[in-house]
Amino acid sequence: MDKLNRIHTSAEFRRRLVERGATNDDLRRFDAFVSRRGFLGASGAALLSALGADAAFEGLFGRGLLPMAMADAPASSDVDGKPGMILHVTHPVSGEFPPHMLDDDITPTQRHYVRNNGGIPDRATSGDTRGWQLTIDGEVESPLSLSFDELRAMPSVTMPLLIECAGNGRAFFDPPVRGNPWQHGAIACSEWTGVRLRDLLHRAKLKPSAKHTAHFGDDPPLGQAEPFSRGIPIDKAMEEHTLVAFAMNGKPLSPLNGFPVRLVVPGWVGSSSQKWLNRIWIRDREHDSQKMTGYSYRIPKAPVAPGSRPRKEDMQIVTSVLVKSMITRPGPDTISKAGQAIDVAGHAWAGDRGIAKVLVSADYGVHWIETKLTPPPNPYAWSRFEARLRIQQSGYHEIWARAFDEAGDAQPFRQPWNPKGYIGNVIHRVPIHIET
Amino acid sequence: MNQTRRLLSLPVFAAIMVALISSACDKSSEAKPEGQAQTPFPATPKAREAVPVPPARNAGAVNAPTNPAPLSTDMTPKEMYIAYCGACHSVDLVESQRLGREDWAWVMQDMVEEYGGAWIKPDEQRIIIDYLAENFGPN
Ligand code: HEC
Repeated sequence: MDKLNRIHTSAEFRRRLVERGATNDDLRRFDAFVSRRGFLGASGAALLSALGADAAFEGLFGRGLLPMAMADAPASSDVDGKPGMILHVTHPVSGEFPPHMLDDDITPTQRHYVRNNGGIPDRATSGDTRGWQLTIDGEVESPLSLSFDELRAMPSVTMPLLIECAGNGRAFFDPPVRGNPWQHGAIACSEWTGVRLRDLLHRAKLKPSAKHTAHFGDDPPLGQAEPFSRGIPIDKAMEEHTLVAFAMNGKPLSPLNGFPVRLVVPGWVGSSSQKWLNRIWIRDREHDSQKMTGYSYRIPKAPVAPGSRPRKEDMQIVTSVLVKSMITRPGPDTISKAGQAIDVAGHAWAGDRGIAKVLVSADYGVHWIETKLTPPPNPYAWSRFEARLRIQQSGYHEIWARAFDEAGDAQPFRQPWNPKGYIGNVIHRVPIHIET
Repeated sequence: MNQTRRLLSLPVFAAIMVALISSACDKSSEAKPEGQAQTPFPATPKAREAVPVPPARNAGAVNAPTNPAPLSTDMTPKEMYIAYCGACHSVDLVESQRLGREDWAWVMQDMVEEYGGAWIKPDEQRIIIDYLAENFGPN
């Protein structure tokens, strides 16, 4: 141990990696990891004790596991109000939580993922609603402009609603695709309070020409990018669960989640739910902003071979997310005893569709058992599934979950591929270790 | 990145993670490893203010056909990449990617044509794409 205790600095650690035959790629990952985390000081020694022995150290490198650990563990952030968030990007802020931190039926604000495309508006950080206005114009008889108090004075509803990032699960696309490498946690089901968008549209009186919405917000774009803007068809805008929300889990919205007002278009890709909302422009055609056209939020009309890029004309917009489930208990790499009860739980959802059943397997899908399903409080919240498993054999196992929606679609075993990694829904696999 | 590989992990893997994560709090004054050049958007949560342009350039110079004193002459590809690609967003956005050369060229094209990176000259684009393909490839 004396020898190990002398290894205090990341530079020494790095030198040992080189000695042990780490590849350049290993070293690059190590450097990236170190620069993200502000490694390591005296706990370099703790790290090596955790590794136990030189043999383990060598063995892990031989299998490429240590570098994977580094690649898979983006910095936990101390972004305001989001302790424990896995931060993918510092600016613009984007981060998620691991599934075992998302077990609550109602996601706490602290654990609602963040996907920003630009800066955070000053109003959101100062928490000041004075001067804020929501304008509704375009294909309407009587354009509206409402202050925050006027909006809040309208009849409102409160309900848990799902928002899932279009790129959730992108990390499992093979070959890898561009964009934030979200794993499982760019999804949340918080309780939202707001005015139904349809009530506002009734007030503004849609013209017969109204086909589509176009949403705008206060967030300053990066570089010369067009201000972030997306839209939805009028039918979805008129759906009773589509809200103009001013409260989240009973409190004002958090700055990162859209203070003071955002759209919540539940079940559809998260970018539909414009944050820091200030204008809804009603259009007579599908909205054609930068983030509605080209390859943005678009998938091939017909499946394409992994790695290929279809022409723009052969792409279509993503709308609802697909059937999916997430195991929130047990967490990854728990250790259990042979024959002992293992309580498995998680959430399942399917965008515009309901969940019919969720099955779980502990043997790579050879045998499946049905789970107890608790239906959601509304069609756009997630369902909870629960099951009790016993694994008789010692060793390494995986718990898999597979959800089926009411139309009979189930989650795939391999991730179908599209060029930007949207609406991934491959089954979730959680490793577990059984001791005798 | 790859779930199958990730799932090969062993208990010792979890122990490593715990050690790595807990050690992150320990900021001693040791020398930083090489490769920590200062970026316009360093990886700190406060980096959310104005959007800077790279040194020696200004917003008015965007799209300017002639730009005196080319920034690139005294830069390594890595320095150029950090200065240019960290101008609008932090470079952790870039370094989390694992893309082949064609995809890096596609990303570059979007930055230049859609997002305002038109000041990155074609030969500079090539240098950066090569650097990214070499250092942030799929494997
Ligand atoms: C002029 C500003 C600007 C510069 C310079 C710039 N980017 Fe970007 N970049 C953007 C914007 C805007 C986005 C989109 C942000 C969003 O919507 O989340 C973006 C997004 C990205 C993404 C996200 C993935 C994707 O599919 O779009 C990657 C990767 C990226 N940039 C790489 C680079 C690289 C590499 C460079 C250096 C050559 C670079 N950027 C330089 C503005 C810029």
